[in-house]
Amino acid sequence: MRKLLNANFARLWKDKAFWCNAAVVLIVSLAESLQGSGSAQNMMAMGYMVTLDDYFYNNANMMGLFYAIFVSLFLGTEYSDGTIRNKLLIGHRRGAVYAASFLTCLCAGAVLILIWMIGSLPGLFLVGKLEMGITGFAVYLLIALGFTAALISLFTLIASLSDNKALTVVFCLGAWLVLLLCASGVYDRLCEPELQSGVMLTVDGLQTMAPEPNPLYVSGAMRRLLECVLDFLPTGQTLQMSNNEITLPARELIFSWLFTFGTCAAGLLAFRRKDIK
Amino acid sequence: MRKLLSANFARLWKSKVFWALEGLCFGFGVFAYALVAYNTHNLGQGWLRFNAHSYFYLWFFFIPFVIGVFTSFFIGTEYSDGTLRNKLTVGHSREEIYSAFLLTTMAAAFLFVLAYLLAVFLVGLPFSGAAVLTPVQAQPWRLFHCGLILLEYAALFTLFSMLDSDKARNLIVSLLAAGILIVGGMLVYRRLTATEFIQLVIPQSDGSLLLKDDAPNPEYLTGRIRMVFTWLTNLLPSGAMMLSLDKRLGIDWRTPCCAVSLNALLTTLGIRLFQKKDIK
Repeated sequence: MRKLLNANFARLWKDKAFWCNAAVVLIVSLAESLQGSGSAQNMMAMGYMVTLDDYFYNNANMMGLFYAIFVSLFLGTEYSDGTIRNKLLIGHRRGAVYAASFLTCLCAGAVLILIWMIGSLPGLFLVGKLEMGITGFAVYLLIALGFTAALISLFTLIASLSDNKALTVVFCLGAWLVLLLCASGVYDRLCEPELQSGVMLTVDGLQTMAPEPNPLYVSGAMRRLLECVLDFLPTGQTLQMSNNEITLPARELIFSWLFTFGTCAAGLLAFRRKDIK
Repeated sequence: MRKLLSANFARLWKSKVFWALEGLCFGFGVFAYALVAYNTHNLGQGWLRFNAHSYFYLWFFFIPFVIGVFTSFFIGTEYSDGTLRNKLTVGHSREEIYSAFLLTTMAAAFLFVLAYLLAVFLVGLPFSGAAVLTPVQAQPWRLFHCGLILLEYAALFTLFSMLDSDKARNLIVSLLAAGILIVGGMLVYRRLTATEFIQLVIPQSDGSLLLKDDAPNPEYLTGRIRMVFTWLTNLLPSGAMMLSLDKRLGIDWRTPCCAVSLNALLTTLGIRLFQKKDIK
């Protein structure tokens, strides 16, 4: 296992795709940070109460895309170059190969989080400090690590089972997109207000309408279920983090751990049975 | 050239990726028009008349991704299987090979759109009525513009695939380019079509609301920046598509002229670069 990890990390630091990915994460984070800081300054000038917290994690939603690209290229190369077969031939167990791949990608994910945070730093100088404080930041960082582990475990599963690199890219990107669309759908329904009111133009000028119940509002057990689904999906967590709306961090961390454990177990079982040509 | 085209099309009809993407386009069309039928049933023909246009041209938002995936696999396989080298070895010129792939991609792009439009006839017409076809009956020139822009996408993704022998890397580049083009096109179009004046609703101290007409819109572009944005929107295939699909706008000859020019430019550039490419 130690040798496998050494080999994987030696390849990781030389991997062009990883460094390209890291550079794009840095550029996107910087752009998001500068754009968010500009918006925050405009809003403050207009008298709105905004903080850096509202903009600092904007990039969270995009992280899944970067993980999908990195994992599919990094692990896809193992199949296309035949190194995975070599590892098995010299006596490494399939479980160890799978675990080493997952751990390497997880470390790469942690590096990408670090780069994302570095890219978000200009906000500290342009807008001010984070209102959530160091504890809040640490909790958000843990959640970021949680959804990173969950997404990377899913992409490792896909990449370990598909021996065509190009198809792995399609499947990983597709899985991320589907998860993101599901989370967006659930999030939109949960954001529906309980009461809706509006403004009408009448002969007497503008009139505000009396609030009426919103038929799209989800309540009761269904609402609790949807909230659980949103917290369970890693993309639901990225969505909440980018909007600075995380309310139950402990539950999200537990769900991330469950998701990671479930996908790793499923991946390991399937990988053991896979015919590696 | 005829032999190259024959070989390409023979491979196209057997390509699993091509048929999977055809199925995806058709499936998306069926889903979209099932939604149209459901909404027309609940909200009436008025809703359909207002929204028929958007649903008819919905393919525009996903077709760049479909063409990007198709070219990456279809042309990428030529590199990975070494057939491209074989074609050169038997004496075909690089221009012919490039042109044959470009024509095959263009044909495939039209077939992807046709698969979506097939759903209009199979699901839209029987379940929602003839109103689903009003976008074509009212302004057929929009279809012509969209066809030219479709060729632009085909030229762009053929260029990417012909210059990159790594199938997976090319796939990522094509998908990212498609995403950036769509988002970029929508952003420039939104800035260009911002109105000069807007209505503002200002809350008063007594709780009432004041409607202020003709307030200047800070988003409205003027002068040289407006000119730059106008040309940029016409040049970007996604921006041009947004202009072509805007029901409020009439025919603008800059759009097809830009599409044809960019198409010629991309093809010339692609052939030049492909001629210099080292094919191992």
